[in-house]
Amino acid sequence: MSARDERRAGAVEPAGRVQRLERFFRTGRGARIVAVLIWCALAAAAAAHLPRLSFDNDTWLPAAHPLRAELESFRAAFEPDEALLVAVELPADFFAREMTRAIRQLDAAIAALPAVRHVLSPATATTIIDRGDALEIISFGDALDKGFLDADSFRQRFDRSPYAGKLLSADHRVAALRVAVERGGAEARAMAVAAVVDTVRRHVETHDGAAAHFAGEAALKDELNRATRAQLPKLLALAALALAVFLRLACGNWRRAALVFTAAGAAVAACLGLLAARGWPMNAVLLALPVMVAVIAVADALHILARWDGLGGGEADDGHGDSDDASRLTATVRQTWLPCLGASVTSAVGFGAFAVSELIPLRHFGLASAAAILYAYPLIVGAVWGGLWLAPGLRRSPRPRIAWKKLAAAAYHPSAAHAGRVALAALLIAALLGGGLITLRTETNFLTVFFAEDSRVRRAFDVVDAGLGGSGRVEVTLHGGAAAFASAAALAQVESLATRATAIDSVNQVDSYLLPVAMAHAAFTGGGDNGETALPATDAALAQELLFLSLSRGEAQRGVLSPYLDFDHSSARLSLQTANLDSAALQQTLAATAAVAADFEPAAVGATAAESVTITGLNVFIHHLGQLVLRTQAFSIALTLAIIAALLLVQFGWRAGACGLIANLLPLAATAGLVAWLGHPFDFAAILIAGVTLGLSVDDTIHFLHHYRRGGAGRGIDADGDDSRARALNRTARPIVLTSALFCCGLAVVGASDLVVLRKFAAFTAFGITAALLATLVVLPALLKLVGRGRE
Amino acid sequence: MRRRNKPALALALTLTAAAPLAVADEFADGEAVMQAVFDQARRHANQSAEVELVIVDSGGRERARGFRYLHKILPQRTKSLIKFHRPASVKGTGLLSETPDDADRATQWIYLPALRAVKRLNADDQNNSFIGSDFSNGDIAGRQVSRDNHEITSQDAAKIHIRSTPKDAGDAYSRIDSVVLRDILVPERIVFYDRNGDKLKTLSNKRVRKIDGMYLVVEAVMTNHQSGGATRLTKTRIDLARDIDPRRVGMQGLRM
Repeated sequence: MSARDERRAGAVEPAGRVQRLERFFRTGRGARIVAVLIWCALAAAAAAHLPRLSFDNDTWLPAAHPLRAELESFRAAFEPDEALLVAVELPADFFAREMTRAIRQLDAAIAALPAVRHVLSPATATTIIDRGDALEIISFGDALDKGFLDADSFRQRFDRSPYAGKLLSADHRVAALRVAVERGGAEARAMAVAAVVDTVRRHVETHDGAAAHFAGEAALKDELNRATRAQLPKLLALAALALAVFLRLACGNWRRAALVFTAAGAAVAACLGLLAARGWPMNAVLLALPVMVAVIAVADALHILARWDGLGGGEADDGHGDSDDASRLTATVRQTWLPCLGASVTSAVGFGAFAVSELIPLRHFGLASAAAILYAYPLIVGAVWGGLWLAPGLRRSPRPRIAWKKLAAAAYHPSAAHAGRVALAALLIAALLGGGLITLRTETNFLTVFFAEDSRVRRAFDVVDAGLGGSGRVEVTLHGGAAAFASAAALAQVESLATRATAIDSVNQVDSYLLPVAMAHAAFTGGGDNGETALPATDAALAQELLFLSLSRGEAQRGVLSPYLDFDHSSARLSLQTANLDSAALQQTLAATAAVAADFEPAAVGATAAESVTITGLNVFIHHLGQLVLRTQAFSIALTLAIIAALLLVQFGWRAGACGLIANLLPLAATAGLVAWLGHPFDFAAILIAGVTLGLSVDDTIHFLHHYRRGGAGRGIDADGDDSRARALNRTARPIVLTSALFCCGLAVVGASDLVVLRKFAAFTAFGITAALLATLVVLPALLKLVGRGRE
Repeated sequence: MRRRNKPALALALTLTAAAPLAVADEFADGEAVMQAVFDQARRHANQSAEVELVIVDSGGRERARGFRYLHKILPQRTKSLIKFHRPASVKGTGLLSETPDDADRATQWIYLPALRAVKRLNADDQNNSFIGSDFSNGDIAGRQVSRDNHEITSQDAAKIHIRSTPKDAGDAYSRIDSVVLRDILVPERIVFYDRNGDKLKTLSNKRVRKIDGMYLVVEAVMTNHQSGGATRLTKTRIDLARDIDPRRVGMQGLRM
């Protein structure tokens, strides 16, 4: 080994530096106090921002991203408020007087709430009643009050209206109240939704057999935010408990456990404080981060303590004996700072690679995790080195309860005796499992991804799907010049597209301005009935009927046309109502919708083909995130691999570095492939699995290779490869097994989450960590033996 | 007995300024101020004008409507007729309103020339938008003085600040703050607050002209703070002197 190699392996350091370090550890009280103060300042600086931590799952893409801009543009024109759909299961037929009255009272109570813009229910839905000389643009409820309708005519008229099957189920036993909640961010939404839920529950309680469900965009987002908010303390408490038990068992005494626990706590505070300081809200994807940062921090601590104990156990260490505590601590620092830093850097890279994602939660995950892991490094190593330095009680090594050396020997034997077979078997297993990636698919439906099947929010959406026309929407917006859709030709085109869109299998209904226009036309031409579907044939007739319909606008400037026709009639909306579709079904629906929209003739409305049709809406927006999920996966893995490969090759040379890289690729391929084999789609958290697994598992490799190189440096790797591998395994088996168990323990805590997405992330990452452990203990030594054979 | 069932906040269309210099230096209370504003606004029984309505949405897009406006005060009722001439596609469309003095709500008839159809409308909710603008029907027809409690919150030599609080808890507004120009008894600005107490919209009377002894608002802007939209209303070719034939603000005029 060259002198350069030896320095790279950390085996040789200038004597002056060692002496200075030893002298520092022998210094008196002043330096100790300063050290403690610096550590406390680091921890406090991070924790100071904690009170500002916010929760929000709303923002997935930056405002300038075309997908979001498209969605916001659609919302500004047609859907300025968020929809909260209240589905009330009635104990009797809605048209029974008592039920009608109950829904009307509920409607009025909700409408009176602050932050509620308006409510649409079977009672407040607008109809046009032709009473001979007079037209009544009136709600069904007011028509009942004024005697324009009786119970029977109300039922008949409503059943023929477009609201049938949407605001009231076909059997009249489920009524919907579409509540428009002001868009004001997560906090405002939470207050509005809570007020509506409270109001509904108070009303529903008074009717035996009635039940209420809450669906729609506002309910989904609020449920996700509330779940996130509720999960964080739960996960942190569970993690604290699990960590305390784990540390007591791993460290052998409570003092060490308390020290590491405190340092891990500081790391978690740093992580959350960093999020708060940057103004990055906690979201469902980021929930796993504090726990992962804690276990990464603890892993470093375990490596340091293992080294301290190893040096005290009579291990000859390259000439640095354990003459006293100061020199032993110096040796511990020298032998742990670089591998711990390397491990932190690789973890930061594995996690931080998501910073390249266009998806904001993943980008925040990447940036926050990288920063938090690197920030945690001085906190944890400072705490453990400082603890060993300042507290004599921490220096006493516990008696090992597991025969780690026997375990290491047992692991080493197959790799030494059957290196080729071990390597081949590992390759085959990884290839077999990795082959599952050919069936890779993505899923971004929020309901499916985040919530369990028996969750109340999924039950609510099921109720809407079953009886109220469906909870999903695909929004088609047609664009033209000013007043383009006030022409009869444009109206005819919209009618044609709506007819064809209705024929798409997954589309239950298509809403557009055809409906109010047909109602108005019927009223003026003598139809006077909601069943009429004739449309005005001339531009003038249409324009005048649109003017008539504009009389229904309220203070909030929302009228019967507002959901379907924009301010200057330059854009028209066709809203395709579907069930809650998974990504595959929605993809098919989008393809069919695009085929229908392709028949739109933009020239008729003064537009060019490029700008004439937009297919958007919240469901579509979320669906398109799937493409970004895949792109993020590819970028993050490529980036992580590139950086880790560079680190391994630079630090350990190309042979050992390549072996280390292969030992990490195998569990990575196996884990990602297993996800696909088991039929699980890649979602917002599943794409974290590969990067996080790689970031964590490479730590084991680094520690192993570090000791492998140190052993080789002292004795000549080429001459004594077996001995170097055995010694490396002997020294690292304990911390590697412990840290892997620790990671799995932390993942088990994450897996206790109510959010499906985190459960899946935890299970597969734990598999990856276990596979990586086996790869480090068994496959890596075998690979090293194979590549070293020729040289030996 | 002085009648108190008249619109006190008759705004952009019906709002005219008070009789000049007939202003009392002191008012007994806020109600007296609002009554005076209204009384002066009804000094002339006839009014005709060309009205330009430019509605602007929060994105800055404009929609313009032009119409001929006829307004006539009759015994026990007020009638008005709007005949659209712009945009061309709605030319001839008419909207006739009749508001009894003792009622809040107007009865409206609409005429669509393309279909040659007249229909009576009972959809004249006072909170509904006036032909899709930021003005409501109530803003145009005005509010009865008796619907609100009026309080002078402050005053100086030039202006009187009035706070009007609806007596009906179910009213669309929780509060209406007006600033009345003392000399001419024309509201300079009126701010409407919604049921939640949030500022809803502000009427700013931008230009006032003295015509035939009356101060008349000829340009007003209503800004909706919640929707982000605004409507500018401009009146030209104003005639207060000519007596309008009652048939012109009736069915015959509507179909013409």
